[in-house]
Amino acid sequence: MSPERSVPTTYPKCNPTEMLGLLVLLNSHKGSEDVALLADDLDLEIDEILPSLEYAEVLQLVKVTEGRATFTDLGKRLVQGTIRDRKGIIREQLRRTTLFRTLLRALDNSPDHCLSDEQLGQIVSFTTAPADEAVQNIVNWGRYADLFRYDAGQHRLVAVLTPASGRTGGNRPPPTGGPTSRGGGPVTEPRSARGRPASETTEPPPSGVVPVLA
Amino acid sequence: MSLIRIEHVDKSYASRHGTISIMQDVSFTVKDSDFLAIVGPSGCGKSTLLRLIQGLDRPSAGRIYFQDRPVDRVCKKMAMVFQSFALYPWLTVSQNVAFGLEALGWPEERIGPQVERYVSVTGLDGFQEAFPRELSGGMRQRVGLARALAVEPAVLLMDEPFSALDPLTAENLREEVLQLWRDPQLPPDAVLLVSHNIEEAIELADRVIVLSRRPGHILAEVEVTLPRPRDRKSAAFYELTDRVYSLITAGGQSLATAPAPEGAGRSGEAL
Amino acid sequence: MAKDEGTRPVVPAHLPNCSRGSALAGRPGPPAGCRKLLRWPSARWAAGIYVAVPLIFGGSLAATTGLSLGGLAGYLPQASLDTAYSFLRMLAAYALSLGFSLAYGYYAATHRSGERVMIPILDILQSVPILGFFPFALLFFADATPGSWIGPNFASVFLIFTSMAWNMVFGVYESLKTLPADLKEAADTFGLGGSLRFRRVLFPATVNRLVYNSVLSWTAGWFFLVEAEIFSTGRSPLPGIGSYLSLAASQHHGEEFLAGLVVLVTLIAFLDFAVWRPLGHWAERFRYDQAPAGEGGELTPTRDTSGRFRRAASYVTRGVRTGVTRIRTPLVQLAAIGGRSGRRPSERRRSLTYYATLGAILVVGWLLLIAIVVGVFDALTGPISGPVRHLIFEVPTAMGVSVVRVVVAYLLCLAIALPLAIQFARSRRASRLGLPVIEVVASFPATALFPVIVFELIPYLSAEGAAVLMLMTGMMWYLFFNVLSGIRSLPPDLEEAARSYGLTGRRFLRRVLLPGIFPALVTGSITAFGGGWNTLIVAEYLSVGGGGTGQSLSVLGIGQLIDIATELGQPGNPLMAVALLTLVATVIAINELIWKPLYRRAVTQYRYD
Repeated sequence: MSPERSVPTTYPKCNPTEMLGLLVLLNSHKGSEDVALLADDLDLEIDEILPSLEYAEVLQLVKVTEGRATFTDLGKRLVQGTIRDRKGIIREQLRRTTLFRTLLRALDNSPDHCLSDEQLGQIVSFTTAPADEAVQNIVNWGRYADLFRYDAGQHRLVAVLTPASGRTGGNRPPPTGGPTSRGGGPVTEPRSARGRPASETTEPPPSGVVPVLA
Repeated sequence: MSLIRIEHVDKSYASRHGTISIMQDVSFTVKDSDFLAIVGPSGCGKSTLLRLIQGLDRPSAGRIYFQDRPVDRVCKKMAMVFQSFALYPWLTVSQNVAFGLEALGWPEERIGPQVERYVSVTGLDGFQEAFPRELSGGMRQRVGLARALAVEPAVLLMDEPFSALDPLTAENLREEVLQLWRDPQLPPDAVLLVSHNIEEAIELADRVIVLSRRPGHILAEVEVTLPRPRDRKSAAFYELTDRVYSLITAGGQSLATAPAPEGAGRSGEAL
Repeated sequence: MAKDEGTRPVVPAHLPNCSRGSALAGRPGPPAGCRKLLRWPSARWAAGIYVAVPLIFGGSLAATTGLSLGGLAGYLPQASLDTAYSFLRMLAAYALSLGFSLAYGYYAATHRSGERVMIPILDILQSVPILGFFPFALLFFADATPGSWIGPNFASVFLIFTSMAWNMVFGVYESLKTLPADLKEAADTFGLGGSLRFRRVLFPATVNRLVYNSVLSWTAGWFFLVEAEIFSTGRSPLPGIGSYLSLAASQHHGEEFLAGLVVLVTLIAFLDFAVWRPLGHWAERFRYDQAPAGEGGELTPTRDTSGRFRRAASYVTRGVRTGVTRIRTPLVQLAAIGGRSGRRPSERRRSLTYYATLGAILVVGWLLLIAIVVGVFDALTGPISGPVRHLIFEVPTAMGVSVVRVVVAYLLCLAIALPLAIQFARSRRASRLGLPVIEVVASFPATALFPVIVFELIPYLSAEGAAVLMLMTGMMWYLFFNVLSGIRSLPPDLEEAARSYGLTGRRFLRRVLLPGIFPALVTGSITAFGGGWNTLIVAEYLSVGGGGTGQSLSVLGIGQLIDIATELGQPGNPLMAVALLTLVATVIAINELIWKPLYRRAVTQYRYD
């Protein structure tokens, strides 16, 4: 049941609200449940919850083993937190993904701290998903996590500048999530990942969703 | 103390084929910090009831009181969340949230911080300048929620707020609404939810009012005392949904052909 | 309400240029990112056209008559001044139209009792050839202020107003009527009232339609402005670009004429680029008719402003549709009562009696009206003079000839518009290169070229040919843009299915394409005929320039009679009245008896949803 851990060729379409819904659902199942039963609870097909599950896994909120989804510590903390806390956790976790690191770095490096749809499309060009959809999906997540703004009129990403550093990546301190580096810096070990093998946390999340860019 | 009192309310409309009675003799009260759900089959006047309570429409007979005063115009101490979100596409998220405050005549300098606050508690940070069309359904309904909460209503009226959302997003939003309602720092004392989804009602509410088919009248008032978060697969939950479901199916039939209450179909399904 | 009629919008919800190619387009549309790339070349292309069209035209003219640039430049100041006069008139008329449409549309949309009267009136006003009343208005205003510049100016502003206002009123009215109920209710629940409600909800709701309809209003406005100014030269001259052009043409001053064209085109191009394109882009956010059921939301609202013409055309068309489907004019109601019999006869018989009754009522009413007019004039101003009486007897023939002429022009337009539209819909390349050209050409008032047609083309075309050509310029675009939209909104699967069954060529045309675009074709035809009736007044009788150098075009027709009546002045009044009444009655009759039934059939029988 567990999604493939290899480099994906698709970028599944999923909204943050859907993934959060899955976590809430898992919470009402006491934090651990068979994926098939989870889907069944909402009268969904399994493949309808897979994208959400994949994101939750990549963000290290859920672990899937043998078809059973279980909260990680961070995932548990997320569902116990407020709406704002959740957003903060997702922001920090997203920032650790290769894709968003690349994106934020590109935003940082661009002279006007903006990326056009076309540039964004090139960054996500690894996927076989329609470029439109992939871009839209990524923009959705980044906006939700307040990692960048999107100017729909000009069709471009706009960096959120922190006054102190001028770097990108969120304009308020994360409510939770432990010591974190500001945008694009070296990834520190997330609190949630305590107890995991060190090798796994210092690497970018080995994920089905976030690809290792060549 | 009772926040809202509904006394013997009838509603009927004149139509080409005579008067159509929407609901008959509906009475109940909403207490402070109540989470009340109204369920019933489609066409039982649930949504109409919500509109009567806010004063958007007049009952044909009976009275509705808010804080012991009759509701005779649109009550600004209540705010509505719509099934279709009802966001203004030409207003940004912030402007949509500010909408109700402007209507209340708040001064500009107070509107700004208030909007920021409710944008933030509903998780909309970063979307302030976005237009509704850029948002997904779940985020749109959060805007609807923020707009309603921003006016700090005593009662939050929700008209099928989750039925236009995909199941996972709805699951998330249900939980968030509960969270907001339970936060003592945040406004609505009471929530009145209209839904056709019995599971949803039982999952969220303290009390469920079950309406019959048109003309709608109250079949029962069901207390829900299960601890939250409620497990939909638990036996107690199952039993409750089953009870409500058989109430409705029985209430819809004439007494002469009363159906067997046992095995009245799967419980908890949307009607 | 456009939605619940079950007809598809004439323009697909997403402008199809890039995002959603109809299957008629050879290949699927390029991804969203290219939208931006497309936009600019198309804008540049459009700009190029603005320059190229007059240059080519002028070049060929210069080659034949031997013009010099220096001479041309010498005329520019005068041309600019005259264009400025015209522009002021346009502005005045537009301001009037804007105020009027907001007030009228708002009242009609919010007051049920007002609506019942106001919308049928509007429907009649928009279908009646207002231009026919211009001579009358000119006389009226000129009489009211003898010898003053005010009269003719009033008359021309009034005329431009009538060409601008109706579609804007419909825009306001419909956008308020189709505003989703939940948006109104949300405003209610928050107790939003008064001016705040207007500013936050009602006015924004109208902006999108207002902007797009304004584009069309200005195009129609230029057309009529030039027409009015040409018409009034020699009577009560109006300083303006139209009279300038017609004087220049009458004296065969090619350079002078070209200078006028250059200034006019520059102004129109400037307005297009500096006002309408940005405004159209801005107005996108005020759309509420296509909230995408968003799972990711719509990050890329359409930015393709070059589609504005099609959109505008579709909006106007929707106005027509409202007229057709929502409104029962008193005439139709009367006929419906007359056609009603005791028992319910078969559908066919019912409609037969219905039409027979309607026809009879029309003919009798028309004859009665003429008799009344003649009687009234006889009684009030003494017996009508012989020649005028003679002309009055010519009215039926003239009307018939005019109808034939309009139909011929319509068929010619169709013969051009249909293949062109099919080509455009089929080939992305053609539409990318060709559409901007067509939009630019369509936004240019063809009336400005009428003097040239009269002076230079009559020898080749004959008077009759020139008249039809002028009619065509007034009808072409409505038809073309509607047909194009119709083809583009044809569901791709219909076409695919046809192809998979091997239906091609003429059979495809007959079985799939024509039925598929039938509703769009009908609405396009209604608007095209509306344009045609309006152009009649100058197309049938155009006297350009004064005195000995003047030349005139005159072919028998109702427009000609109206013009003659104007020239006759006071004694011509009975003729004017009879001719106008006949024209109006005919137009209404054709609308009621042909177009509206056809349209109803189109939406019931040929819709696909």
